[in-house]
Amino acid sequence: MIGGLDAATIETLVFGSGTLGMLVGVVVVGWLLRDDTLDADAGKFRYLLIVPAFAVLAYAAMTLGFGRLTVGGVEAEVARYLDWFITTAVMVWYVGYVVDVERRWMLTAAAFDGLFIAGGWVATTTQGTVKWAAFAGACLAFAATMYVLFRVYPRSAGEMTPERERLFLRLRNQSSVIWLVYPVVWLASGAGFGLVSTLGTVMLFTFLDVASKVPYTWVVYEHRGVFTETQLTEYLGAGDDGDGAAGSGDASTTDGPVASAD
Amino acid sequence: MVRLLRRSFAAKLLVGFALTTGATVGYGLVTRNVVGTILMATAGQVVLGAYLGTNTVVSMRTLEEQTEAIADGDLDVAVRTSRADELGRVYSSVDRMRRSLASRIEEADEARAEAEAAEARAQSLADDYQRTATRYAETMRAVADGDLRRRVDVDHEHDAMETVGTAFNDAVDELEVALARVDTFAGDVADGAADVRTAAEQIDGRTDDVLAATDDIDAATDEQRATARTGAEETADLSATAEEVAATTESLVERTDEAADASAEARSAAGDAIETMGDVDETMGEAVDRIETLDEATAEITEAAELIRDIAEQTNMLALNASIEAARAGSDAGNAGDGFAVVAEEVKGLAEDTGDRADAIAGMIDEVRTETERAVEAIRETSEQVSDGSTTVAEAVDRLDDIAEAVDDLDQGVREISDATAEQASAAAGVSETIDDLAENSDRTADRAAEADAAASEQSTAVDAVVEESETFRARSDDLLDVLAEFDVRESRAGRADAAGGDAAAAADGSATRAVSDGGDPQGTARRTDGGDRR
Repeated sequence: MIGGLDAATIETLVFGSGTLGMLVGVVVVGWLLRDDTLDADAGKFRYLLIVPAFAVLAYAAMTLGFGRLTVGGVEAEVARYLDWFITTAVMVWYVGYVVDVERRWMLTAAAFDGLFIAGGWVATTTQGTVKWAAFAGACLAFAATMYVLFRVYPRSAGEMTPERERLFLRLRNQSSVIWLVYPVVWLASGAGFGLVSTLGTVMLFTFLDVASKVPYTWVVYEHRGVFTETQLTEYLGAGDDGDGAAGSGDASTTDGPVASAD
Repeated sequence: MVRLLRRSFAAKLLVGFALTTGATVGYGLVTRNVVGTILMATAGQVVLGAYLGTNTVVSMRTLEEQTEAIADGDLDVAVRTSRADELGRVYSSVDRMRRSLASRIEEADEARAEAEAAEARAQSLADDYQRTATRYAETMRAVADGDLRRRVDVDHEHDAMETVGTAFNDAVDELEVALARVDTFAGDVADGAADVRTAAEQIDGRTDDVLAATDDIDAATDEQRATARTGAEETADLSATAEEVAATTESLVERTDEAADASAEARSAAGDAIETMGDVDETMGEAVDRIETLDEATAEITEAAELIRDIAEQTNMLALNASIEAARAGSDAGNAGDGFAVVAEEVKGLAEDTGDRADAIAGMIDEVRTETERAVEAIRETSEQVSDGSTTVAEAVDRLDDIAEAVDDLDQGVREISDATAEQASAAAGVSETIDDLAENSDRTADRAAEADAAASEQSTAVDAVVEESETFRARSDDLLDVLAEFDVRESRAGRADAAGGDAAAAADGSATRAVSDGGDPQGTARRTDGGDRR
């Protein structure tokens, strides 16, 4: 349509851009894994790597033309939903992990998130009442996920340092806000009311995917000081003491590495 | 560019807007779909807000929590962020503020701790000072009440109190020494007063002795006068007898002349002559007796003169002693001694005069005695010759020729007798005159003795006054000692003052004891030597 390019080509370009965008996230997590000053195990960077890496695989697959499935007469991008199913669950879990939320609540949040994605898949691939029932269920699951993230997580969180709290809040708020747009885009898409073309939907979801995942890894990178030995000792020490306050003297001297990491 | 994005929130915002706007515009151009474009724009705004807005809100929220914690006094929470933009700088400013506040509070705590320590030290110091001052005050009160043995226990820990304590102790030491000296001085004064009193009493006694001595002189002079009167009377008798002898010798001469003339007729008269010779012999014996009586009288006069001489010597000695005492009294009591010295000098002069007069009398008496002995010798010879004449007259009966010669010899002898008797009469007159002089001298001696008596009486009154004054003086010095006894002086200090003063003894008792022994010894010695001299 523009410059003589047809929709399929543009869609491929969009998926390619999405793949490249997601690679940036992989690079960022790679920096985290290679940084000797950080405790990779404590940061669970390998699990974090799943988020951009799985997205890269999904987008690469979609760029190459795989990942589309026709279910009940409706062509759906199974790779996209698989990507979402895995990566959003990891993202929800990781949000809880950085502030040591109780395991069961992390699993609960991941489960609701999975229901949300699964509901979306069902709503996409069905018609009529089932579609809308699934959409409603997905929305409820999303609401439940948000409830767990905003209500349960802070209550069941372990001891927090201000840095960890900030990381938690940024990851949670940023992701949640962006995720709010997904149902709206879904309603406007062909699966919903058909207000936006397939290409438009692909562009929107790709933009939203990259905008939610890459900044997610970047935020972790920005707050990587949390996983330095000093702050970890501080954090674990604070946990042992049952005291929320972090040590002052040493902590202030570690401002340097934190700042220089940016 | 990256640096600018890191440091400036506005740059981030602008880049974010540019990207989302670009995406939206691109989306619109590609899809030509209004709803999709709106969704894209919304998604862009949401993403931008999610990233930048959330970041800012979160940063502000944790910053608020941390500043509240700091405001609540929890300064241990490090305020740090990875942000380098305006908010990041706010974080580091707040953190600097927190650290500054922490160090200020630490300094304030240290300062407060120091202040509290200083206050505690000051309080402790004040307590120490108060305790020391209380101790000082107690000792000072005791010293003020007269207990000079007390000394403050000097507080060497605090310079000021040490200075005060040392100064006070020095002052009390000096006061103690001064009081010991005053005490000694008062004791000496009391002793001196006692000595003056003793000396005055001695003078009084000596004055009594002088009075007694002048009474003796008076009596002796009276006796001397009586003896002189007796001597004068006897000398007058002697003179009369001598005249009588002269007359008798003249009649004898006439008789011998008659005998010569009547030698022829002498035979009958020889018996008368012999008889007369017997009378003559008898008269001679009487004359010898009288002369011997005179000799005895002159011996008595000599004795009296010697007695006067002794008395004069004694008086002289008394006067000498009186002079000595006067000299001693003069050094102790002043004017009274001078008056006494004058009197003693007078008495001494009088005694010397008396002695001289007595010597003169003794000399004259010696002369009288010599002459008397010669007269006695002559009379004895005459008596023998008369005896011989009597024998011759008896033989003259037979030898009348011899009678004439004998009568011549007799005549010559009688003339010699007459001359001797005349001389004797003349000598007796001299003796009488001398005795008159002696009597006159005795009168004068009596007058002088009366004057000495009066002077001694006056002196006695003066000495009584001296005794009274010295008694008053001693009473005053005893009062002073009583006052000084109210001060308790340390034994060691008193002993030291004693040793230093040489004649001290600070305690009133000690001085009293010493007064007795001191007064006793020198006085006894003086008496012994005085007595020895007098004897």
